[in-house]
Amino acid sequence: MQKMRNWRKIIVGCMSIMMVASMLTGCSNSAETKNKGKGSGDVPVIQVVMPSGANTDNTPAVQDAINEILAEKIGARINITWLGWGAYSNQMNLMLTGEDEADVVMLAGYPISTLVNNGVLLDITDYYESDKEAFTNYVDPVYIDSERVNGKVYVVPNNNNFSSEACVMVNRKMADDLGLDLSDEEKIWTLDEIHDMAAMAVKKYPDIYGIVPQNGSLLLTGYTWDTMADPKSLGVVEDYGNTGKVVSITDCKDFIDFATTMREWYKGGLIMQDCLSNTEAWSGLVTTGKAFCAFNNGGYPNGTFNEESTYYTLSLMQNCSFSTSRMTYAIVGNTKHPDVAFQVLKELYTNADVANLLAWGMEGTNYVLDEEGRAENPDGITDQNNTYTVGSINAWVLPNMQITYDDDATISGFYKALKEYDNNANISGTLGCVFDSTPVSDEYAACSNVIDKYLASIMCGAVDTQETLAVFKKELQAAGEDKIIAEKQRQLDEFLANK
Amino acid sequence: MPHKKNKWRRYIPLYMMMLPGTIYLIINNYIPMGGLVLAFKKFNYSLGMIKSPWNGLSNFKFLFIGADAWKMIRNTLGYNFVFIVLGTTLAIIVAILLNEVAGRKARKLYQTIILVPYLISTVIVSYIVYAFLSQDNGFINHTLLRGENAISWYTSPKYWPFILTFVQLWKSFGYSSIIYFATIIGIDPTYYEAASIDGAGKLKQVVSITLPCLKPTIITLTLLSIGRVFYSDFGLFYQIPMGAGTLLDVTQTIDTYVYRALLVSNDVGRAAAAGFLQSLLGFILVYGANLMVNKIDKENALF
Repeated sequence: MQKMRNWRKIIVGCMSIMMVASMLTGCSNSAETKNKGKGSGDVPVIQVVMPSGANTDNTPAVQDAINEILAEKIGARINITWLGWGAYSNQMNLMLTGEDEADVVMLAGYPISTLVNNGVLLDITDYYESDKEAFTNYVDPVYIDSERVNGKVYVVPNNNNFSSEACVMVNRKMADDLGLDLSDEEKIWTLDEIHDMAAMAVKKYPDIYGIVPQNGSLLLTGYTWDTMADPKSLGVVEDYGNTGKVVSITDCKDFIDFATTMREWYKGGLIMQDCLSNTEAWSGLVTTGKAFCAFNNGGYPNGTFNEESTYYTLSLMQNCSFSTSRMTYAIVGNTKHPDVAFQVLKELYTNADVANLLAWGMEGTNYVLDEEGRAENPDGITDQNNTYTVGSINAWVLPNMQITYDDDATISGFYKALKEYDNNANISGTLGCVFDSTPVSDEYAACSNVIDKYLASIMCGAVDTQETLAVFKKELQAAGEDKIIAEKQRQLDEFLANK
Repeated sequence: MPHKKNKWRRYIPLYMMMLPGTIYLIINNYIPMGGLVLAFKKFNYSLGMIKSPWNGLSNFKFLFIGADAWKMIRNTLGYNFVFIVLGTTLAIIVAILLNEVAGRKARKLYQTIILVPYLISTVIVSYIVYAFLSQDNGFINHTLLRGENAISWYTSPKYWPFILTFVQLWKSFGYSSIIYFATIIGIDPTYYEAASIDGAGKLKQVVSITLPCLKPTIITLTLLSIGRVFYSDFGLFYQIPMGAGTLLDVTQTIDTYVYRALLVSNDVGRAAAAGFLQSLLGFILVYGANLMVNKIDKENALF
């Protein structure tokens, strides 16, 4: 009897342990199985990994066409892997640290200095210096230099927009119905004007939200202060980064003013009352008419999108080249073919044929050119059933979208207008100084949690501004914010002294 | 000697049956333990695990900075103890009730129904909760309170200990009930027959027969969950409150803290440090609890 019981106990124990273990480890990595393109002969195959939210079913054909060009020109082939945005950061983390997983990668939202400190990226300074024009023909070197870490080049920013502005996206149909004239593309709008429009809108359409957050629960992700590419805003430089002094976000005048105004708007019912539990991006709410308008950070000149566009963009400030974390292309440190990987990166950046294939897919199947030379869907094909829509959905993930065809959703000459817009931007005083949190990582970790706790709720006005700001400030200080600000100031001073 | 050899041979099929599970355990649970060494290293991808430099206990420091440190530990422990006590009680009650259901078909139906919440993904549960609690369109504010005195659930921390406990119990009771139920149907029915002849009512039978027979299972399952009191169900504490910052005082646990703290910096050493601390404390607790069981009731101790 005793023996039986022991056996039973052991079996129950083992089974429970295994059950618990299998529950805990059930989340396996479901990365897309890559079709490791075994190259013909000894041609090295470079793994190119990019994120995208577009249809990419036709990638094998696109890849073959690109490989035909590359094999002839630089004797290499590429294998493209697209990562969906939802799983992007998880899968990219695995790929950056794995063996043979990736050679050329697109990095979005990564603090480059941290990756460099972790030894993940290849130092490409020498390649870059010997082949500078390939990149500086397209991108102002100030932006490439602004990504340097300890004076070395590890990444090149993709040729996207380089400046941005806080703006308000307004549902076009509702604005027209209300008789609002929003056609002045040069105008800088005030918050009071936005308030009056939103108030009119919620009065006329009681079932919609007046103002919704830019993304998730955060009402507006960037305004007139510069965070030095710190996603947690722990220490900001006011006045477009031009004061040279790092202050706590809780002492930033524009932030406090904005939050105080938003508190009034929230209490008046203009701002989505559920915004703290919101998970939708502004675009899903404004363009479908569920909301009148939303704050946003835009980086494109107003009026460059076609009339059928569903919203107006109202600028709240002059656009500015902030020191932000840009989308960049890099080569992974443990690549087996550093030389070839750099050649591939260069081709992707400079070869218009390759870039167009990458953006628009196969001519005839995925796109045709209209009389103005813009890419549009072939007859009978829509964005939904087109098997390759990277160009129309997110051309901005590509290394150099500005050498590809214009999109038929924009005015022709869009990329020229975009360059002009960037050239007219304010330049932040901290541009190029990217905060490296490694020296204060303990405090940074603790303060990140405090930021998550208060920033979104203060910003959207869901809580009392003064009261919460005081608690926010106190907890930040308890978590060591002063030390972070001092370190940020030190890095900024050093940067300004070397400028 | 030949006797011993025969015995070994006789068990070969059992060993073979054990093999896949053992291999799984070794690969999945033992080999990764080597990674714990990272808790004491400043990890650098290019140097790798072995060559990365040591940096003492400094990886642990971030867990104890700021006002939130004790809150997350309090929350993690507090919720887990509440879940263990209420969860076990509820599961046993439901298991006993299930046992009393006479109809075979009805019993099968109930078994399935109570298991359904356990099978729903936490993300979906979070939207079910949201459908109840949403400020503008939620069932409670919109229908029950008819828009008057609407409660802003996602900005009021005081309700969340109850909401989270409720959701956790709702989600998990079916699964543990089935485990207890499996033990209950194994109880020899003659005990109950004898008891009812002696005039014991249903309640008396439960207290004097069912519960004592359940004791080993209760102890085993409780000890297992005690080992995990420093862990928390990430989905429950992150997804169900929709990541709302205002609720962090009552929803922050060690796991969500580590997630929020390291999401940006992607720091392997610190993540390993947090995991190391959690398992070490869990081990001490299991060991201590088992020691206590050993003292009180040697028969039922796990080891």
